[in-house]
Amino acid sequence: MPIETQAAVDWALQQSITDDYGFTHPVKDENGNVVSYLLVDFVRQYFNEHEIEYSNFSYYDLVPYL
Amino acid sequence: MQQMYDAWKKVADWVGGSADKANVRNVNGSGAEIFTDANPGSMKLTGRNVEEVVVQNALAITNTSFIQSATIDVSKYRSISFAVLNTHDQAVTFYVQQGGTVLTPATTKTWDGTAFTELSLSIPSGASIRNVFDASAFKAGGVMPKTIRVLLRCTVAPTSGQITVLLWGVPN
Repeated sequence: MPIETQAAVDWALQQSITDDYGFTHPVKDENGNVVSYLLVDFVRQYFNEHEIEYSNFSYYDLVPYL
Repeated sequence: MQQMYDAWKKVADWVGGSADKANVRNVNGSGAEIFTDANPGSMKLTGRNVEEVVVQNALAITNTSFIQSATIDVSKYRSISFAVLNTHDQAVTFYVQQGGTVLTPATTKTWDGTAFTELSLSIPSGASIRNVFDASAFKAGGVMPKTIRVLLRCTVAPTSGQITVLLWGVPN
């Protein structure tokens, strides 16, 4: 994983989405539960926005950074 | 046949009840019969048991290579469904391959009555859509392979998103 992965994960954990019905879903809820697909989506967004090169990765690759 | 009858007769005589034989009744803690003509009893349905296997846990695809999951033993299930969330900016082609050690995972085709065809689905891109489908299309003669692998591929490399694949199986 890129050396920027920790920064990407830290940023992603602060994010949330609003679904089609207007409900907000945080990447990490108040109980500490992480929604795996949201985490990966936002980490990838971070990589893209910061022009960081990366290859295929999954949620399991991000677990060490949680 | 005679032996089977004799065995059944023994059980029937034992259950039938007499002074020196057991009479099986359902009773509560006080010894009162639970099931009577007035209260013939009720069944508590516990619901259907469904198991979930995470086939791919939020996989971010960045190229057009084929990506193979681990082997999944589906022999314990009598029916299988998949739920797929694809948030990539590209569609993902989803294949089910028969997988194992005697026949290693490879292109898997089933007879549709006219020809052998490869079984695949195109999972559209949709950030909030859970695509749910059963695996009946991957059966031949109503029988699934003993072990399978899920194969994924994008014909155009995605630049964002991920794919999550769940398998739901109803145990035999």
